[in-house]
Amino acid sequence: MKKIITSFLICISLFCYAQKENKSPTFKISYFGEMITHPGLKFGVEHQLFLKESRKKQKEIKHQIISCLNIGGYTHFKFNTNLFLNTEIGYRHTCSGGFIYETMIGIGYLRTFINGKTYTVTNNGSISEIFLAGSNSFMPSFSLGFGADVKNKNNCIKAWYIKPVLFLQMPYNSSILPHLAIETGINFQLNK
Amino acid sequence: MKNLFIPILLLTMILISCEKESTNIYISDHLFLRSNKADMPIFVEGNYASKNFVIVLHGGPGDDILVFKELFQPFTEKLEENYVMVYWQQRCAGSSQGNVDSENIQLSNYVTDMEKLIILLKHQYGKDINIYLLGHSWGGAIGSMFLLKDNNQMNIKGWIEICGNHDFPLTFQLEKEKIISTGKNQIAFGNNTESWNNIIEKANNCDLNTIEGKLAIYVLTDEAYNLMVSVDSVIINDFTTKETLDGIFFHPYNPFSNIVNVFAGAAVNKDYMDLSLNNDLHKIKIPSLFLYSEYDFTVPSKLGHEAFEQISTNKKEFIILYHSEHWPMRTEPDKCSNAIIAFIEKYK
Repeated sequence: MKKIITSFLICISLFCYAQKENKSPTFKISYFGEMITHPGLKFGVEHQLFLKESRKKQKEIKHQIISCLNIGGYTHFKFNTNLFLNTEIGYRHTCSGGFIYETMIGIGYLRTFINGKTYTVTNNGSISEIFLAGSNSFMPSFSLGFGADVKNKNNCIKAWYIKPVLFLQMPYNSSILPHLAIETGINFQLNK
Repeated sequence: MKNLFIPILLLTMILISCEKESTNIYISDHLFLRSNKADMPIFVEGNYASKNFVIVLHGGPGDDILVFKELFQPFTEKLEENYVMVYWQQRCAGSSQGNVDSENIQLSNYVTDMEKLIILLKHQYGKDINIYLLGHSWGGAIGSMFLLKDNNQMNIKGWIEICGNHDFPLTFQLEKEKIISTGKNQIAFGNNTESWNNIIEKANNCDLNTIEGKLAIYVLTDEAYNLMVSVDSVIINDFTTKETLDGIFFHPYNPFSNIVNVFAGAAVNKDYMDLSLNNDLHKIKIPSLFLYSEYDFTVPSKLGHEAFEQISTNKKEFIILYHSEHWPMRTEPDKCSNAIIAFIEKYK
């Protein structure tokens, strides 16, 4: 657990350091649907750690290493509402036509809040309600994304994307609970 | 308008006085019970007027109570019209949450959870409610364990077992016997001769003193049932494509939780494979109803009949579902629900 927390803090500090270097970070906002239908939202800020550009028939091809810091949540109606904070790092390739694909891995913290009154019964039979019942979990993730650059340079929206995400909830009943989600959203910059 | 006021007032008063007192008070609550590291959902749904509560003990260990609640709807809806159904998701099963470790998934934990559940229900809905237990398959084991502990029977008005299993060593033995006897009958009728010969040979080779032998006979129960579906009187119990897709994409919770919990709950397997309550069932003295299926190879009806003979009460009934296998709530919903309603009405 210590290793996980340490690596998480290193990632965050790397991210913060990177942000200092660039005045104009890219933000992203997306629908985060666990099993597609359990609705949620994800907000993030990303930074380019590495860029290599090349040209093919006058068109630009980009190879980037990206890091992101995200916060989000989703809900299972009548079961739980989950909030997470995670950091991701990955590779993004932008083709000459503007088509983007990327792959990211991440680690994070997932907090579940039970949607419903939760009671506990003591051995002498007294009952009490638990405030904000839920559990804490480690949340590693992996995603494959597809999208496209928005061509208009004056537009604050820079790209759109859709990506299936696999993330794990650890521990879950002494085991690991896998989750599948669909994330679809836009990347934008506040300074055009 | 003035002239109309008095007749309208009178008519309204007559209508109000004629209105029959409603006998339906439908409640639909969901709450959670936290017990020994498990956060267990409880859905409380149905007609509160009679104050009869039926706690559903699902099968498994590890089954999803939502399957029971949603996919057996013709069965559950009819019961909800009359009583309050309490759909309790057991620890380390289905959509149950928390972080239960191997120390907290002993057989005794299930009984403790049930005791707490009953305290909670009486706290929420009144001390004067009548509580019935309805155990399916594995639910039969934990229900029986609960009833055999201390004075727990004093809190329960009636015990209903649907294909309940309360003696696993005996069940494995009966599974083997049923597979072989059914196979011999089918061969005599000339049905699937080659397949039955093959299954009988495999069953004869199963050593029930070993885990491998027990698992092998369990697998054969499914093969035997699949051969019997060609017999006209067996109602096929398969999920439709729509039900399967709904279960994945519109499952109210994460559909993987069921799979993960089944494996996490497997820690209890080493205990329940040796669980044998048949010799203690005479201590059960409350009204009891046993519903077992003719084509159930998983928990053969002979086991239910053993329990019926063992318990120490005259207020008992044994019903065979002649067209079903292990899930008669789905295949013969009306017959099951009618039998339960008749039982509760008789002994309430």
